[in-house]
Amino acid sequence: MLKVGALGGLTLSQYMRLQASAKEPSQKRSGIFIFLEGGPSHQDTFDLKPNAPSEYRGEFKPISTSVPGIQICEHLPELAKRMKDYAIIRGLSHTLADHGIGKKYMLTGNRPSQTLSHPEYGAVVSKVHPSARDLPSYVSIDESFVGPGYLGNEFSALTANKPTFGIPYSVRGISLEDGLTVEKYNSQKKLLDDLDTAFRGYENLDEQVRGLDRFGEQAHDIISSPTTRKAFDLSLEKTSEFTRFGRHEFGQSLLLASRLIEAGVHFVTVRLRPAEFDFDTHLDNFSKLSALLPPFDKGLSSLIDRLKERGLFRSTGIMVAGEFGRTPKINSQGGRDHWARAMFALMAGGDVEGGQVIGETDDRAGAPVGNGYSPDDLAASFFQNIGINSKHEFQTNIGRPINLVRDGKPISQLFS
Amino acid sequence: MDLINKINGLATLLGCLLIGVMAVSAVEESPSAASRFTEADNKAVPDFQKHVIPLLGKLGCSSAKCHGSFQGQGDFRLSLFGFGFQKDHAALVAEASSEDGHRISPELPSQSLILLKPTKQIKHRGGEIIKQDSWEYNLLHRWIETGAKGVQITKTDQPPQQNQPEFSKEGILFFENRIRPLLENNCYECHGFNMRKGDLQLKSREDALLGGGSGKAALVPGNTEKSLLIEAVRHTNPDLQMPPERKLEEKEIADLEQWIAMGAPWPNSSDLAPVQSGKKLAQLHYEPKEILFQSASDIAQIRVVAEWEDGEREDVTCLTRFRTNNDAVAVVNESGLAKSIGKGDTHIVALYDNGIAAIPVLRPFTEERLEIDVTQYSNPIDRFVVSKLVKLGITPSKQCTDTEFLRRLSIDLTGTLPSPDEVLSFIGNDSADKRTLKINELLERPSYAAWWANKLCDFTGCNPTSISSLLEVAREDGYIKATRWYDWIYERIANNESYVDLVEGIMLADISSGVGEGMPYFWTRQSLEEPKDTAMSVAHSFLGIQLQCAECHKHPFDQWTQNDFVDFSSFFDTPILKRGRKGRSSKASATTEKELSLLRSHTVKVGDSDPREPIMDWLRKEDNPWFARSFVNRVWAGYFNVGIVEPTDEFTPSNPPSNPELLNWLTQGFVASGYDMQWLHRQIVSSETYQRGWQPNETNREDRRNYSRAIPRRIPAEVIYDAMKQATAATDQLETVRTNLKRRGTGHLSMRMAGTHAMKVFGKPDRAINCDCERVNEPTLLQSIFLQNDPLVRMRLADSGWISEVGKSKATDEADLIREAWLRSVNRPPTPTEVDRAKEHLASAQSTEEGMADLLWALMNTKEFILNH
Repeated sequence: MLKVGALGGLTLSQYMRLQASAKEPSQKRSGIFIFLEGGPSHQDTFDLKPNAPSEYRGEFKPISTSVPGIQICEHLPELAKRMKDYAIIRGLSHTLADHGIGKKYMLTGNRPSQTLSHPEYGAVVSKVHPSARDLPSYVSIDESFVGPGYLGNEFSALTANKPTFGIPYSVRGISLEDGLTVEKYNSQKKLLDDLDTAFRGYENLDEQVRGLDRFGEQAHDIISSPTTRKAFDLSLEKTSEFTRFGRHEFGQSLLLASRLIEAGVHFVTVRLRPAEFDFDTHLDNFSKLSALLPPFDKGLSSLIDRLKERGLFRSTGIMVAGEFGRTPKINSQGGRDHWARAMFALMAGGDVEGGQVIGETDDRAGAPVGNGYSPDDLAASFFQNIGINSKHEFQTNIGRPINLVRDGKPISQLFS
Repeated sequence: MDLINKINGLATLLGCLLIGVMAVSAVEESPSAASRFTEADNKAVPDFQKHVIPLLGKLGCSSAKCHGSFQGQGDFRLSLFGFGFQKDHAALVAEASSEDGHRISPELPSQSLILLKPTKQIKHRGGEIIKQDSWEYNLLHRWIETGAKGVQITKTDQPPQQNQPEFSKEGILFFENRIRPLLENNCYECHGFNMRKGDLQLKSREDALLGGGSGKAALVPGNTEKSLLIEAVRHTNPDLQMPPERKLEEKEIADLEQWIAMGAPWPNSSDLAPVQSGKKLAQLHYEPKEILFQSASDIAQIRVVAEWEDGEREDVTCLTRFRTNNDAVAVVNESGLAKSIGKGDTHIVALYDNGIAAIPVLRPFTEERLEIDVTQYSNPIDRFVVSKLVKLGITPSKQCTDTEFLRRLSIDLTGTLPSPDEVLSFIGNDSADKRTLKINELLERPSYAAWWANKLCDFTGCNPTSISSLLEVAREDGYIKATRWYDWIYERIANNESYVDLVEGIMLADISSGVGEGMPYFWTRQSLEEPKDTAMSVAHSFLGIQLQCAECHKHPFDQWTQNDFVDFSSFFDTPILKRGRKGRSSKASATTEKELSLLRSHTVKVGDSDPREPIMDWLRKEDNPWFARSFVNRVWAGYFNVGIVEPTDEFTPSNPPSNPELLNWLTQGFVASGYDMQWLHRQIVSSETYQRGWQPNETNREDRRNYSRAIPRRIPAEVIYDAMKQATAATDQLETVRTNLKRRGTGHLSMRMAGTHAMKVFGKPDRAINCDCERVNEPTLLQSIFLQNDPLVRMRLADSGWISEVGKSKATDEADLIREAWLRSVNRPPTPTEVDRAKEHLASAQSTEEGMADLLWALMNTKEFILNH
């Protein structure tokens, strides 16, 4: 068929047929992508250069980790203890040192293009590995930046606003607010069912009618579902758990991410807005990082611990990255500027063999030694780790066949 | 499977051996290649362009998965979908990189890799493609035996020769095997095709000799030390390190040095952008002209004849690629045998060289021969539509009700729901011409101009973030400019200025001044970084054409080659458009008069003057193949959900209109009216076709593309936003909500709300890419979650002025309130059953206000509300 509509190569009816016949993937995997907005400095976090001249090296000291030979920043003591649980990728490199396009690249694993919108990770999971009916497949904390691209709106994220410690949490569209009870909502739905009769007898005539029925029911299932409501209900957590993850919104968001994965959501993106968690340190790089790194350290460590405690660490792929790294040389205002030629990423969970450093940058952390790795390689690796073939061929809305990750190969060293 | 094999076998017989029997052509015609090369010892001489390249395409050799990929499997790279004749010939005659030998051995043809590999006599990752005694094998064998000649380029097709030294064959091969791939993989992202970072382009030897912004030559043949290219790749100069992402391997640098030392051999520059074919295909003939199936599994053999410019004709069925546009209606195998699958109509597309034939295939929905006299219709639209329905055995649905008509028309024409009073007075009106009068009335409303201005903003790419600078602080500036863009279009639609004048205001806008007579922001968008981006945007906005595929390779299902792309892009490579862009230094835009082809429909000379002028002149031509047509089609699609050409921005020969007569008539009428947009809207919405009900009859349940009934479709994002506001508004606010542009989603909020949660959920386009598919009107889970429980919806109800009126005025009769709720949302009075159910709910509610809020919530969640039907 030439016309393929907006569902990424399928008409709604074809899609539904596929959904009905889709088999459970042999390997059940979930994923969490933690995106550090602004472009975190690599040389002040996971790629320190203590021997570089002071105008490059910066103020932070390296500390040893639980793995001999690997050192990371002194402001990451908890992650240093857990070095065996994750891998550091250094010498990750690209050329788009601008927030907008850099983010698009890193959030999709494909170089942004003028003619095609690539989907973000969660949208892909939502398409090829949907969650149970009464759960969203993909949740984005906070609002997603890229969207489902050529896969079609159907696979958009359910947006969950970030939780704030001490303030009761609610999710847009999911939480029942202003005293609305499930019973009342159900009675409204009953009224709706009785009034929604205009197309009775023609439910299967047109895709739009059928789609509205199906999604309307599923929306009700999700909103009224005990599973979903519980997954989002942070008040069910013990105080000690809030404290463990750290009171910062970052830690609280990771706690929510963990709850969602535990409930059966298949993918969660955590990307706080710069206003709350800004790694774009053009000014005062070091004082800013001194404030940013402790909540990051605490939150990510607790996420790893909690997933391990619940036996979900090996079925959940975790990736941490920003849009780029930062300039090797410190600028006149004590900051570092955008630098895409060298950056870092972390990978954990799933099949990732922790306790290793993959790749290397030169002595000023300015460029990879050798070829380095591309965001595409990183994407291919992450997809592999969450059980998705990175070469999977999709059809765009103009019928153009396209590989999920167009360039890039999984980094084989990452996996045991 | 067995059956398919049998059919395949049969088809080969029919298509390739019995062709002589079927031939009825007046001009003498060469028999098909399959018949001529069946015997190994034939005397025919295959032609590279006519036979070898199409065969490699048909066998899948030049597909994206195999040798057409940009890496080229096994180091053997062919141009994707085959149209780079020189390059492909060079690749075929080159030595293989492994030790397997030559791709072509003229002395011992059967030892050529291109025969050993696909027959799997030696390892071939692509598996066995052909058999040793097949005609395909014989054809390739015979081509090698007769000298494996490439394409002869005639003098007139050749671009003007630069003074370029002759290079040895070894030199050229060294370039093709070592240097070209290196440049393509490492440099072209920034300096290739139409890209030129730092003013440097590396797509031809001349470009490299010219150098970039530094003023120094990138390439000094014979002198590695003076060649800036070498300095850059060695990474010795901290300010000039290329490629920036990584240093090349030592081996690669050594290759570059060796190549420059050799004198930088580079085949004629025409090779990179593939030159015109040696021979020109005049026409692709096919028969039958139309396939009419009666029942499942009916088959029909398609025969394709190529007619070349010199009059030569040849049966090329066995060298043609076939595909179906809808495999639920018909399928076609590689031999051109079409088979009926289901009822309905579609096209089988045949592709050979750069010719495309689309053969209509139709199987009626019913066997009855319908007796409908089409002359009874006064509106020609109905005549064209019903003529096709008769062919399909479809009886159209009955006329829609008055309330359906009013709601549908208001949404489609004005992006607004009718008000309760309007509904009541319309159904209370008994005059025969009330629908016509309503159409005229709505066409004069500001909301008509607003809704279609919003649509034209979609088509032209009015995106606030793209017309401001990238800085966050400039966002407000973007909104202001985008709003001016919208207002500029709005005014012209409100005054019913002609569409072509409106487009001229955009096309010829003076970009050095602000908004005035013209609309300059179309050209100053950040996304139009390179001339090619502008070319793609103009083609998309005003011609309904997607050029993007042809940027890197021949368009797989269209006629466009890289040449067409380069030519069309060249129009926008002009200093006039470079303000605000990093331009190339003046040396390159020296005033040479170029003759450029306007997508092969027209050729113009472009010199010093604004090159947009000849394009505008061409758009104004009555016989422009796309300009009026694509607009007419987009407007049509706004009313029927599917365009006559669908997708609406895919005007290609392989995607023909579902009703060509209809599209022709509308286009001609639109042009004849002086591009009068109101004429077009009025003509469409006055037709019986537009006013049909959505309920199907026994014959048209499955019809979704021939307009035999209305297809229910989700109302667009902005309209939903405004509709909810309207349904909940206080009575005295109702008219303001309906008309105040500044506060409407289809008005100024259109720009400000783009990218917000609600608009993203309902698929409002960002207007960031060249694709009509950016607007999504399909239902999704998130939309249902939004409608049922989003704070925005709950808030609308909680803050509803109307609901609070209900609480205050105790006097009002409950039945009146209920009726009002229906009129506000689904725009019709409720049925007695519905009134009873509503009363039941009100009785159980704690207060009338709460009960009414529930009722309105439920109504706004019905399909009847969300769908335009």
